[in-house]
Amino acid sequence: MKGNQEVIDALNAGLTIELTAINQYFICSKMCKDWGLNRLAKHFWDESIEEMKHADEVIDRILYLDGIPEIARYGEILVGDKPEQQIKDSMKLETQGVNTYNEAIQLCIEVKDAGSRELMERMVVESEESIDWGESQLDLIKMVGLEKYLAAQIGESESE
Amino acid sequence: MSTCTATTNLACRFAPETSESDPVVCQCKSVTESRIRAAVDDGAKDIRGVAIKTGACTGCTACSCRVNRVIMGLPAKCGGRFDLCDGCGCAAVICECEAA
Repeated sequence: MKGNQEVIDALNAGLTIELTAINQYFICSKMCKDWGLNRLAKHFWDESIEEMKHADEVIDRILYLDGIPEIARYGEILVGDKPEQQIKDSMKLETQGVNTYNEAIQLCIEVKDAGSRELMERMVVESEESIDWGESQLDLIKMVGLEKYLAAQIGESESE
Repeated sequence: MSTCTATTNLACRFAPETSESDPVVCQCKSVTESRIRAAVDDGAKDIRGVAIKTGACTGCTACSCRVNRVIMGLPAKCGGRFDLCDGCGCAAVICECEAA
């Protein structure tokens, strides 16, 4: 089905964020695992997979609208050198996603594309949940201190 | 805890360096707008001609619209609300950086 070109552009803008997030969460997960922060590594890993599922849905929608998915376009991948920075970087990317999708949803209402709107509304909710998680972690760090927080993130390794 | 120094390397790997005046049009092959314009000046008349001379649009082909605009003598970016800013990477509609 031939879709509205601006909606396809908006979906591609969202896709770029999803593809960036897949890689950003992935490297954060690997670094946390290397540091022995297994619980945090598991969280970032799950987020990376979630972003991949988002990208999967967005690509399907772009193809359905007869657009071309921008699969080679990435934003800057922020690789924080400390867990706290990684959490802040992920919140920054998720916020960019929420803002982009919210504008895109407005566009979908204007051009009456309910399918794209429904898809992007789900993306917004899931991204807001990720932002909420990040805010909770930063609150925890403030309340219990970084050392206790990191101790709680050691968790168990997969081999245990 | 080790310190990661990969930030710059990873950013370069996934997001080719770009500038406002000469943005990357084809992300797959890292072909800039100026290279495509030079190919057009050198006789390339269509996407196939540009592809042969520069390699642009031989990957995912998502840049075909932008390559066509350069062939027609227009800027690669159409200036839409969801074009990505070369400065911060945000969609133009939410961009608040100085490059906007």
